[in-house]
Amino acid sequence: MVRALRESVLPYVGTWLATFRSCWALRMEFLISIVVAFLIAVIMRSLWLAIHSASETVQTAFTDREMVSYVVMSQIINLARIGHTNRRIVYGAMSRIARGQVAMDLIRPQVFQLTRYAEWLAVFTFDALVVGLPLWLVFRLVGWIPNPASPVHGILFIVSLAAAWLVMSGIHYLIVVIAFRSTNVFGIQMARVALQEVLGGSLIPIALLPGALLAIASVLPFQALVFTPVWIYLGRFSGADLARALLVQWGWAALLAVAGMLIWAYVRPRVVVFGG
Amino acid sequence: MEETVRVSGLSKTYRAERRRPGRFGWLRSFLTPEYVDIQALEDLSFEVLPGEIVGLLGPNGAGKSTTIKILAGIILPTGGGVSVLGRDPHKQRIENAREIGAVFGQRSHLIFDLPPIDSFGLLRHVYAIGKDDYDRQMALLTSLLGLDDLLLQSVRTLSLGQRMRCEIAAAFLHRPRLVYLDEPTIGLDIEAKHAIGRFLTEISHEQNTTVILSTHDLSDVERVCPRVVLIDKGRLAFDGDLGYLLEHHARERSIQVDLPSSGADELISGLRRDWPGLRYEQFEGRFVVSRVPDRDAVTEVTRVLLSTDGVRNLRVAEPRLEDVIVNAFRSGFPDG
Ligand SMILES: Nc1ncnc2c1ncn2[C@@H]1O[C@H](COP(=O)(O)OP(=O)(O)O)[C@@H](O)[C@H]1O
Ligand SMILES: [Mg+2]
Repeated sequence: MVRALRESVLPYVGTWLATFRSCWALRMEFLISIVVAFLIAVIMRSLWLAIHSASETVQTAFTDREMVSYVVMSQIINLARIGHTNRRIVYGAMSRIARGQVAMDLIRPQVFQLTRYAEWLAVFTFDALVVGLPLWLVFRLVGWIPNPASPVHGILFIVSLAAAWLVMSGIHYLIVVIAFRSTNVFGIQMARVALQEVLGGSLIPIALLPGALLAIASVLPFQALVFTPVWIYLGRFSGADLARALLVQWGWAALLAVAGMLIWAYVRPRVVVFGG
Repeated sequence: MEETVRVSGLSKTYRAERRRPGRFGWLRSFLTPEYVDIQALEDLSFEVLPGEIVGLLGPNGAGKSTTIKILAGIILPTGGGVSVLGRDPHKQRIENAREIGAVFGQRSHLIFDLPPIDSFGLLRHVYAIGKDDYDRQMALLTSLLGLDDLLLQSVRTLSLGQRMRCEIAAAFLHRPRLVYLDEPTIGLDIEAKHAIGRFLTEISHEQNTTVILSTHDLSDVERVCPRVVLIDKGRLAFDGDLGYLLEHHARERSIQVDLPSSGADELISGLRRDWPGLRYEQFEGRFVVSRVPDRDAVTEVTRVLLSTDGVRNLRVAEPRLEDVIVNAFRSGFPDG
């Protein structure tokens, strides 16, 4: 009993630890991430302040302080942070498939999907500690962002961030599984990045999208990535809206995980491991 | 005795996309891809008993890696079946994985950016190895493979031979009952190859580990694998005692030398007279005596050659695997 538990949990703890260590070995690259994320946040703030002062629509949705808070927060938790984290996650897994290194994953007593999630959780936690948290502190100190709207909102923000991470990993995993069957996943990858930027909330707050697009965005998984957690942090969701937003997020997290499982079950018997 | 591995009537066909010929071939291939079937394995059968060290021998493209990937549960066969420790390795991949280890010459267990000790730490978790077991096995592997100085050095700075020793340690860390090694000696020098052979013999003896070692080099299996399974183009060519294979199908060697500018003709005609069964030719400026039937004859001919003034650069070439295969097919199987 204890043994079965050890055997089924320890592999993923080990994977998390080892990946976290690898990130530490590459900490210089994460430092560059901080600088880039910092600069983007500063630029986005100026840009959106300019848009804000010029547009009445934007003014009715946000005060200028709220605008800044949203834009800066969305950069802090930007799960799609262009650059290191993202590249490491998806390209790492894809190049393992292309080089046949994935054989080494398949000879270990580990579930492929859980192992990927464990790896990505390590990259995410490392990024959160080394990039996200310092940025949050700096921007909190200069007063560009407020504290969470209330302690409850603070806690729900973390719950929502966890779901956001699961949704992101679910999307990554689908792409990785597709990479087993197709050597042209880069197109899909590009499409994902574009959709995520536009519909995720890191480029434009979803609330500002025009009607039809807003309707589409609010049912897609992408808004769960950035928009929902930031909206909760800022206290703009409450009551039934808040519950609904969390439900949609966790629903997508579960749906994507199950879809990943099913597609893997289909792909697995057809896996060809290249080379030697 | 219950066999550790049973391969019965195994076949595997890969489907590969083929580029059409011609100037716009790439475009036509994109629009209507054309596929070819590649038969990698054809009705292959053999068994491996507990504690055996078996050499899976074959030239490049023979189907060694395909066999091992199927045995490891990584890919599915097209026909026939395998059973590993009584299980279907593909269906019961995770249970199977706990009891097997593997080294693939072209791939790595090790995390590139970290020292090997961290990869071993990961494997300790992956196989849920208790601390005492881990320490004991690690101590054994460290001494047998001479890992002492390597454990804390970043993997990217290890030489190929050093890295391979760590790869092998990684495969044996959880005391697997069965280990596959797919061309682990590729690119290694003789000394390193021998070290690996010695290690396999020792660990298998000590822990009763069953080992399947694949290679295209006959010298890798000598003194390591009492038994070999020889495959060619996906089919079984020989299964049995390595000594028998060498004795019956791998006797002929060849000798190469640089001849002196004077007195060569005399030497050659002397050899032709005393050893009429051999073949004599000039090849790339060297004089080659082939079809030398056995080691005694090698000694004799070598003595004659070296007693001639000006003969230099003598080299004896061991039998080539390709010739062994031709021989084995020509004469059928030892046990029918
Ligand atoms: N993924 C693949 N797609 C198509 N053909 C393959 C693939 N893998 C191996 N083959 C072919 O199958 C045959 C056996 O390959 P392999 O098992 O790798 O041989 P070995 O390991 O003995 O060199 C070769 O002809 C090889 O070209
Ligand atoms: Mg091979």
